[in-house]
Amino acid sequence: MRIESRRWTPGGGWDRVPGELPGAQLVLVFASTSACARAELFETMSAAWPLAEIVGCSTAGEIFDTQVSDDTLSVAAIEFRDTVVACSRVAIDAPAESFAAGTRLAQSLPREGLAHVLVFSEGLHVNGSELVKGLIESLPDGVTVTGGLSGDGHRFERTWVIWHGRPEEGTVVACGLYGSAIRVGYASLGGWDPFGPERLITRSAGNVLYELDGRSALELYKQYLGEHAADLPASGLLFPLSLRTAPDATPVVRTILGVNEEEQSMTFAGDMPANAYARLMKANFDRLIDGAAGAARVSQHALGGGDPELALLISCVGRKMVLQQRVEEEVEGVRDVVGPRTVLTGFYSYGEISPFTPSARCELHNQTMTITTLSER
Amino acid sequence: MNALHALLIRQLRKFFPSGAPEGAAEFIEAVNSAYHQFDDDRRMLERSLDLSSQELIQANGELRAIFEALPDVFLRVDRDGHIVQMKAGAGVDIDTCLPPEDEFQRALRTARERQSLTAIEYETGVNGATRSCEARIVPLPQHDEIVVIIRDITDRKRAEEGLKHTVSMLESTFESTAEGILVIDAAGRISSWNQRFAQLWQLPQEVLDARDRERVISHAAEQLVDPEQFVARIRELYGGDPNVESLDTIRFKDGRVVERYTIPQMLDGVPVGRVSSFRDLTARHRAEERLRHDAIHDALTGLPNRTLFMDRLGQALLRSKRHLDHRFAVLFVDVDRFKVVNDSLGHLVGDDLLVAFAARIRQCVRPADTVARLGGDEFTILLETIERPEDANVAAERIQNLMSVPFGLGENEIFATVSIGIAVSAPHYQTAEEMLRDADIAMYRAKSNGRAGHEVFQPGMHSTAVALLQLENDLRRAVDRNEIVLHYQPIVHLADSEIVGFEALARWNHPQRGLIYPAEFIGLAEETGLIVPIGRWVLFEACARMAQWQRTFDRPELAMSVNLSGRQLAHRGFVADVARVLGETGLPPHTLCLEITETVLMENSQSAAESIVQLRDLGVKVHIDDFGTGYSSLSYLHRFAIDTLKIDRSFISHVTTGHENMEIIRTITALAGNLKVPVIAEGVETEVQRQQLLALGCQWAQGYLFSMPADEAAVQTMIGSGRFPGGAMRATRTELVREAAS
Repeated sequence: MRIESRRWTPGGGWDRVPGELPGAQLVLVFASTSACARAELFETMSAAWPLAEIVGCSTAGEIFDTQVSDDTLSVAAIEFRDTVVACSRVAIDAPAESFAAGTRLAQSLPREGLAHVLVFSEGLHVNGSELVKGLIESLPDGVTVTGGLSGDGHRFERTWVIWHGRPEEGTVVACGLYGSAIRVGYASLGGWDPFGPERLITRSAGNVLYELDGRSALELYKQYLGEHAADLPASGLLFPLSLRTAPDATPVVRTILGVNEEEQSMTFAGDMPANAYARLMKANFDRLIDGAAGAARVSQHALGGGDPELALLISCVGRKMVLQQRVEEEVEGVRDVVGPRTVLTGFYSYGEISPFTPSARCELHNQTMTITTLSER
Repeated sequence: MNALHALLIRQLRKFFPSGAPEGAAEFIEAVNSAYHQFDDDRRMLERSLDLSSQELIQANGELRAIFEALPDVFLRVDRDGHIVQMKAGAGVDIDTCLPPEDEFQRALRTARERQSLTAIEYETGVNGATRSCEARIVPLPQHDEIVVIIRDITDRKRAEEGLKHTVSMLESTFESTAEGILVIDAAGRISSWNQRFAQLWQLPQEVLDARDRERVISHAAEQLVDPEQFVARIRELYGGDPNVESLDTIRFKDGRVVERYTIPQMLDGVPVGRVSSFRDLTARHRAEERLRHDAIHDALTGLPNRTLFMDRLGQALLRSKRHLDHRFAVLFVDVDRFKVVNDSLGHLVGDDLLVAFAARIRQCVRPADTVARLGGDEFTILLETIERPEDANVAAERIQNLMSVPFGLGENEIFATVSIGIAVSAPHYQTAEEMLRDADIAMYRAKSNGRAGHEVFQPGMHSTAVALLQLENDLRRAVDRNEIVLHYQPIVHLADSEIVGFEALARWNHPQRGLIYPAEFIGLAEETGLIVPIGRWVLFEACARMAQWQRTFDRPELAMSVNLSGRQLAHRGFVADVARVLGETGLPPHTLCLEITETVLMENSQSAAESIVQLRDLGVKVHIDDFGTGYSSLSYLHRFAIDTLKIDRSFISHVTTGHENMEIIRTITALAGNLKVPVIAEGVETEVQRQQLLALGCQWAQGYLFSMPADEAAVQTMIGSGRFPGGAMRATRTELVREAAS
């Protein structure tokens, strides 16, 4: 596996001319929404890697090596030695179609030899939990999925998914990696602590939450956010929810995708079932950064020793908002674990898709750092 | 871009009093931004801490209030099982309500291991009284401590026990009753039912399980004679006053009759539903119907009996009074010679005949007509609404035609004929009895006209009947007043006309009507039973006369023939009477001949056989009278050891003209000859007849050729003179014997 890593910035343009590996089969592109609007960038990439499936998405921050920046474009062009790539796409118009979209997407990929699937999804009008359920149910046993929901900075307005080298709205892309040479590791870790009382979800519908303990959930958030309430829904990421669906179930983290003042409702990136218990969470700086490094360790361990060749980092926009100037510390933490040779790429997302650990079921996460490590034997 | 942070301003002033170094502006901005973010973060954390503290204080307060308000005992137990906090409950003493120590520690362990609620119930003694308590043990999540809540459940348990007992008793009662019970709640839903209810209404389990009242109603209604009424009644019961009690009867298509009793189900004086009980009255109802039916029907044939017939007849009569053109008729039907069947084949066959007969006549009337059995072999028919009086005749003929087919009863094939009397409605009839009486009279007329016929009642018949009644009264007195007299007809030796005996014939010397012949009064005497005293008198008189004549004329061989009726023969003590008469009159038994007709013999075969044997033991002779008119069976001649046959006059009178009659006589005499039974020919009127009878081998005869029946004086002359009155002196027997010998 060889990797050509490139970066475009509004001030400096391309750091180096793209196309060092013209035979690359897969190009992962993570771009700010402003960069997505620049058609010439995509034309350049299509010309540089004419044989490649160029896929990716818009972001809430692009990761290039250990740098995290906004308004840029981060690219990793991969030339596999023995691995075959097949990509597929489905359109999605409403969150209610999420399960069906996941099913269709999984069914559209050839099954034979499928080792792993990378997924990049529309980030706002989707029920990520249902999408993942649909994918998992229709994929062959043992094939896992990692990926994320596309982002739009702190704006939460429009997200894009890159398919055939062009950004599109209302799209989900799956990228299948085939063959026995490819080795994939993955992990997802948080670093958030629940606090305050446990609250019962008393009114909800799908991923829309109305009431906690009979009170408006939006009102509660506004109280806790104080002056930051004006920045909803983005500021809602400062207080994700820890959700427990059954007394002994592992809690999952849910972040806000949007608010509706008229309905007094909040839309989350995954299901908010009634009668589940929810607790507010707050960031723990040290654990956020440790969490990223921990995920890297688990992911690397899953490869069975040796440094990975590529680490795909998908971290939550909520972490970036909390860490602010210190956001790069979590990427540096990953670098410390994987060693200097591994190429780091990735983005800040509106939702991460991965099992918590290699043995766990794949789920949609929020507020986590999700790492997928790739190498070929 | 944020204003410079206050701390940063102070620091810059302190460390760079002469101003910040050149080119540090970007760095200062980054530090400023970080200071502001840290402030933001701190404020947010402080606010969050404050808010969640308040929320927790509030939640804690709520819980504490609930905790204080709870009447239960509350304990907090540490990891070692020691109580670290306790709260007394209302009216529960902590010291006495704790579970037994072993049991308590065991439950604490279980709860801790399972990390879930564990409850135990136990009994504890308080001041000698036993109380029931319940301890609920809840491990606190993320604590080593356990919360225990203890509640005194004595009253609840007692109430539960009581309730259980009551429910069990009610359930047993509910299921053991023979009545089907259904309970509907105030909202019209089925709340309960018993198995008997399900059986009674044949409700499938799934219909009941659905508890859908409308389905139950429609399933039930389908089975009823009047489903609309049933449904309407239910709407009334459940839509109207909930306090109503009601009792009614429901009729099923399959004939069942069910009584429904429904009352409101009351709770604290308020109706909360309705209980309906259904009792199957079919058996009782059928029994009542049976009784009602039996009271007005004949048990043997199932036909209406006299009571019902008279009621229907009375109603028909009333109708005809209201509608003058309404005509109807009464047929009085009597089976001819039914007694013969009964006596010869037994009562069971007789009953079978009546049943078959009833079924047959039922066929030939319309459904609206009434066929009734009055009793015995008497049947009546009420023909409702006839166009013309002749219609009644048509019906009668139809019945009589039906009789042409024999009744097959087991091994027996029986021919029966009926005599029918008809009375047609008329304005003068006031009562049903009058009409029935007239039909009866007409029937008697039909019978006396030779049976197997029908007669319509005519007013004249009534007077005949009245006359007959008068005759009957007269006849009763006749014996006492010595109005019965005897005439005697000689029986002669055919070859020489020598008198060998006489047949005694009764005459009634009526004070107003003069001499009445037996044909007119013997039937009546038989019907009324007067035949017995008359017969007894005739026997005595005849015997006494003959004994006297034998002595007077020294003719000890002269014999006296006396006719016997069936009734006499059947009469207990008849043989004794004969013996007594013989004794009293001194007549030698062998000179008394008792004449019995074939019909009498057959109709009384059993009693006749016994009497004949006894009579013959006395030495009395038995003759068969009117031979050839009835059964003409020679077998009984042998069976009954008959002494003599008398050939009926009907054969004799035509002997000269009918070849057939001659053959019959020849056959009879030949057979009699074989059996060594002599033959007497009756009704010999001409010399030609005498010659032919002689030629046919007939020994004796009686008839006008020799003498009419004569009174006592004439007889004495006859015997004394050896001459018949008005006839030539015949050759004496001895002369003839001599002739034959020569």
